[in-house]
Amino acid sequence: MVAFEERSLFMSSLEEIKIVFSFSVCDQMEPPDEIVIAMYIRVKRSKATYFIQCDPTETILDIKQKLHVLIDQPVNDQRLILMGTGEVLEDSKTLADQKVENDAIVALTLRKDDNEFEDIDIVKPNDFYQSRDADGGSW
Amino acid sequence: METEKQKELVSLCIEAACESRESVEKWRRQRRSLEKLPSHLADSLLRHLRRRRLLFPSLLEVFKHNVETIDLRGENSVDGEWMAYLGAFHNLRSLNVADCHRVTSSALWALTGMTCLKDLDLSRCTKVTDTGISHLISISTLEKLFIPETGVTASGVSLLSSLKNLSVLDLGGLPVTDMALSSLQVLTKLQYLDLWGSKLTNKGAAVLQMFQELSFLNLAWTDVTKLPNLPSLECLNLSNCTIDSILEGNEDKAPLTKISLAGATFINETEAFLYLETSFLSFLDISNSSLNRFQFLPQMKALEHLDLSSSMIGDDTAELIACIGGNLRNLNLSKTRVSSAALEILARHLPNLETLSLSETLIDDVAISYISMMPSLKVIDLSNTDIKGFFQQVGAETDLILSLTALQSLNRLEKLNLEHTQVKDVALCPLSSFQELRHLSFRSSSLTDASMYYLSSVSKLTSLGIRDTVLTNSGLVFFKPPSTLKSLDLRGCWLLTEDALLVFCKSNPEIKVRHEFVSISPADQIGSNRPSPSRISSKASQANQKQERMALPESFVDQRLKYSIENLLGLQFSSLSVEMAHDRGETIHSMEKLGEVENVRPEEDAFVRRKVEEPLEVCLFRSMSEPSCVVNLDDGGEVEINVMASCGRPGMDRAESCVFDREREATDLLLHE
Amino acid sequence: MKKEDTVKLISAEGFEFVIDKEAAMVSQTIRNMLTSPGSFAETEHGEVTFPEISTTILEKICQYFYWSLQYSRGKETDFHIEPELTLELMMAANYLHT
Repeated sequence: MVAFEERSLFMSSLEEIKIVFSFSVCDQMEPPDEIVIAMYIRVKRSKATYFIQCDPTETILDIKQKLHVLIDQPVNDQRLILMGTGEVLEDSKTLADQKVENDAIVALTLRKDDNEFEDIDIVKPNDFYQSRDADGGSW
Repeated sequence: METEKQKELVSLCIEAACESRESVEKWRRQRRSLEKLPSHLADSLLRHLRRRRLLFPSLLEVFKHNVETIDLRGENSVDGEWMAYLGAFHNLRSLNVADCHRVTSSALWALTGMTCLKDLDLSRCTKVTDTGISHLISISTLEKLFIPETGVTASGVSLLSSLKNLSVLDLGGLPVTDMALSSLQVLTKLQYLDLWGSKLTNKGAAVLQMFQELSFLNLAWTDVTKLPNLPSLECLNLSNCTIDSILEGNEDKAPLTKISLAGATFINETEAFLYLETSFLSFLDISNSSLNRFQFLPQMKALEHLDLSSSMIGDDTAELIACIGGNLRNLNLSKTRVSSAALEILARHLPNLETLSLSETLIDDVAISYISMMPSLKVIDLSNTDIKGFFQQVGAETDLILSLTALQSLNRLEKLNLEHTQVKDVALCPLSSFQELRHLSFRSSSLTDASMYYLSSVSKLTSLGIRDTVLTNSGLVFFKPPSTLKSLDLRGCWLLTEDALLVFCKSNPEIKVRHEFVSISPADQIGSNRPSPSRISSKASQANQKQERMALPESFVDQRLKYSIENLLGLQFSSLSVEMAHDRGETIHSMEKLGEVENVRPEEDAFVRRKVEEPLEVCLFRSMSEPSCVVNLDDGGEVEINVMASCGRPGMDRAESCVFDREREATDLLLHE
Repeated sequence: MKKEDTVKLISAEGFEFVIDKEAAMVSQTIRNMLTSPGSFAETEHGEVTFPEISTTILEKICQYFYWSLQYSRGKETDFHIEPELTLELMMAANYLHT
């Protein structure tokens, strides 16, 4: 039993160390102005999904510029559609304006050679989870 | 800290999987996934299902490929059907069905021929008999077997001789005879042997020398008086034995680290420690023993834990304790004749003392100033003493000097018990500046509303007991609980009304309040020290109520008031059970000593387990109303005590073995490595 | 935002998830891959393929990474997990040490 007492003592001193440590980590890694990731959205096209960190006050154009870095397509050739509502998102409006919330799925379509935008193309995975829904009883 | 800690995805998944019966249905047919599940995940999923009460026999089936460890302790529904499924777990290494009272000998048949099982705990499965043992002997891989307080007889024990890999064998409370033990001589790997309450005599004790690796031995409550030398022995329990000689011999001396001789009677006191190598000894329990002289103490320089409660120690012998010096961490002097004079000596020599119990001693407020000189103290029990909380200065003016002020220098003090002392409101004033104090308890009819003022500002207080006081509604309204407070025990504060309590509970939802009137989710109230919302059941609340009823007749008597007990009880508790009364004195007393008693596994319907805070006083715990208890030690671990199963034997022996259960855990760890 | 600050995780079925490295680092396993250059060939192109993790699960994992970042910075929301995903997600999480 004494040994156990000791262990608890030891643990409490460990905790103290942890507290000290976590303080120092906070100091180093989180400069105050970068602390918050307000939200992210999932931009999908074909078999690709882009997780984009953003803020509700950002405009759709801001988002398209972020996408430009990732997919190398000019913002003018991008169109974003909120999947929940099917609404085409306007460049000048903010995410909050158009009720794009955290974890929202946004479809990306690109301008084709004929200057028209392609149709929404999001491939649904056909993995175990979906397939089980189909043949539920056989499991 | 806790909330900031990142939740790991694995545990989030396990929680989600065990959300409800419906969620279980969503995944239980994913056979391919289940087969791939790594065993540590399967183990914890199973554990969580059990905790959420979602486990049933046919669900066990999905785990048969990967689960290695199953702990079903105290799961009352476990029966032959469960065992049939468990028998098919081909990777099972450890099975614990202790206190599963429906497990019978024939249920064990399902385990025959298991190929990986190393560790089997059948403690207190009373329906397991010699027939059951005959099923087990086919499991040649068994290394650890626990069958204390089962229906196994001496002939069943003899059968165990074929389990050659056994290193841990718990036969506590079984009628093991000298002959039966003799047949176990072939078990040369034995390191741990528990034989408390057996029929062993000196003849059988001689056989113990055959176990050359034996490091743990429990012979409490046996007729053994002479124990031969066992050179590898580290832990020895001879509690409640009559002792002639211990480990007599001139060969290598055992490197003993822990000895319990609680309640032992010594035939020849001067030779009691003659053959013992005590320089490594860290734990010594000689509470309630017949020892009169304590000359051996100064040699025990490594001693960390010393229990002298109910012994003959007094002020004249306190010097001997002081000689132990700096290693001593825990000291129990409760129910002894020590007075403040003894503390004067101890204070100067025991700088590292962390736990000190002085309950039911002759100390007064002078002792407090000596206690304050031991800077490492974390837990102090001053209950049932003449402590008043102030000195009356001789010759000086009427100025009171508050004695508790001295304790302010103990900046590690976490727990202070002042129950059944003479402290009055004003004496509590110094408490408000105690920085680390977390647990504080009082029981006194001299405390009034004014005391709440001082208690409001104890900054880290998490549990507060102010029982049997004359606290009124306005005192409760006035009380500004420290933000850390989780538990408030107001039992016996009979001037409080139901409405006032309700208002308080409503405005302080994070505080678990205990009072005879508080009936909203009463199970909640049980977990006063370590509350956990998942540990709630109606059974638990019943136990709680029972306990409270027992306490009533005492707590509701306040001579200064004109109500009769009958009036009060008639008003409040028409169902007060009279039959509780006979057992009351003792039970209540042990409850008080133990401080917080809480239910831990409410999901087990048939028996109620309890958690108890203090490590040492555990030994005195005795309750006839609950068959099994879990004692929660300071380090957060648990120890089980089964009280009823002692079959007419005084409750002490189980409590004794509880201390040694810890040893078993420790030994387990040791053996694992 | 720079492309070098992102990493592409590829599922068993070949679906791609482009996430911030910072989020991916929530997984100790991925962190090790990204911080010990050379030892994992695929990480040089900022791509990691998980042939054992299905698309649905990998997407859930990515969502968890972001939730975890938000949670650690004080946004206290629950991370919802559909019960039918728990087993597979648990195994993936176990593998990714997250």
